[in-house]
Amino acid sequence: MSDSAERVKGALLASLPRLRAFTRALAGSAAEGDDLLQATCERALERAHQAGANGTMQGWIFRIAYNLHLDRLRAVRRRGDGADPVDPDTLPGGDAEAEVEATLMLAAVQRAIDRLPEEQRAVLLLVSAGGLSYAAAAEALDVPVGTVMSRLHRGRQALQHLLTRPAVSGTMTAAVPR
Amino acid sequence: MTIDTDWIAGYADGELEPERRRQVAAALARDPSLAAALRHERDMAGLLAAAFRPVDEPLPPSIAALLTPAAARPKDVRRRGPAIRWVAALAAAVALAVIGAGGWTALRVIDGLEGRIARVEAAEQQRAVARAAITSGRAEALERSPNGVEMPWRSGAVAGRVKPVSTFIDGSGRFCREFTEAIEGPEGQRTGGGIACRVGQRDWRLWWPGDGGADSGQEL
Repeated sequence: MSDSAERVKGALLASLPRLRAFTRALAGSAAEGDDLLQATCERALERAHQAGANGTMQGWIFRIAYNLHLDRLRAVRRRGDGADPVDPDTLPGGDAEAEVEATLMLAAVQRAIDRLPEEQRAVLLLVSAGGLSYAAAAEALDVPVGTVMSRLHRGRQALQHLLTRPAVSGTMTAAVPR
Repeated sequence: MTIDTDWIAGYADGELEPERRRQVAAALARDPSLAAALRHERDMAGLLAAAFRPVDEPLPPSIAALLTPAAARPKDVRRRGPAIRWVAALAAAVALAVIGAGGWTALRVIDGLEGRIARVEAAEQQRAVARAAITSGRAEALERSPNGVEMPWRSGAVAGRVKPVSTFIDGSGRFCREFTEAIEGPEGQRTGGGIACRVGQRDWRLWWPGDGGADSGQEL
């Protein structure tokens, strides 16, 4: 086993709790998320020789995870049982609202976030589930830091729009631990 | 003076450079609608963080097997002497940090540590003592403290706090625990954590890359 592989293992272990939260959120379930996590670890170790310096390795690892996720999405679409992301402005209200009232916060957020355009969803999950800095998220998505900030802002606005309805705005505020 | 509304995100996340940060702060003071936007930004960030928490569950064996360190430690690291090994072990422990900001911060800390190897050589003796204290304090906590309960220890100038996070039996039947720890010594404070498995009576080996011994970790 080469030094670079050992270094990548160390970085994977360091990122593990958040990388796992990210793959689960991306895939939409614990089982599929862990499956994506395993594929990510395998791919990262295969390509260990391409890993950059320690400072950029975290972005590199999350990029592998995200690209594998996109590959899987494309495969699903080719089979015809997938769906395109829905523009939040075209959605009928109701689902997210009912779930929030039932305090199924995770399910509500997951469902809402799954309705966002893919590019916003990716940034939100990299920063929240993955815990990445803007710089690392930019590395993971291969976009400028300003683009990360912009997508993050728009994504949070869209999420707020999906989750916060007049009837449940009080519930939502109470559900935010702050 | 207008600001880009995207900057609200950077402001909420503490990611803005100082000049822009000042501009946003000034705009916030003038414009109540901006203050509401910042509140929404923070609400959503908080909600997302709460919804997608770090996952600290034991790893599926297939993934654990992938991340098990190779049997042979790199020879050059061992030849460079005990001080360097100690730093390498500490750097690795820091790399395993699972607290708060997690790996990103830890990896930056590593860069700093590696640059300080020469200085560390000079204080080898002191560190050998500290290392023994850390190993012993950690083992004590891993033996006795339940998951989620932090146990403090102190030995001379070195003190630490260790908190087991989860407990599991690994593929070869070893009793293993994931933990976080903070260590305070004459050189300051460091936080880290990782996975340690019991290989004998009160003998806990770090999973990666081992605690300096040639045999550590290899059988895991």
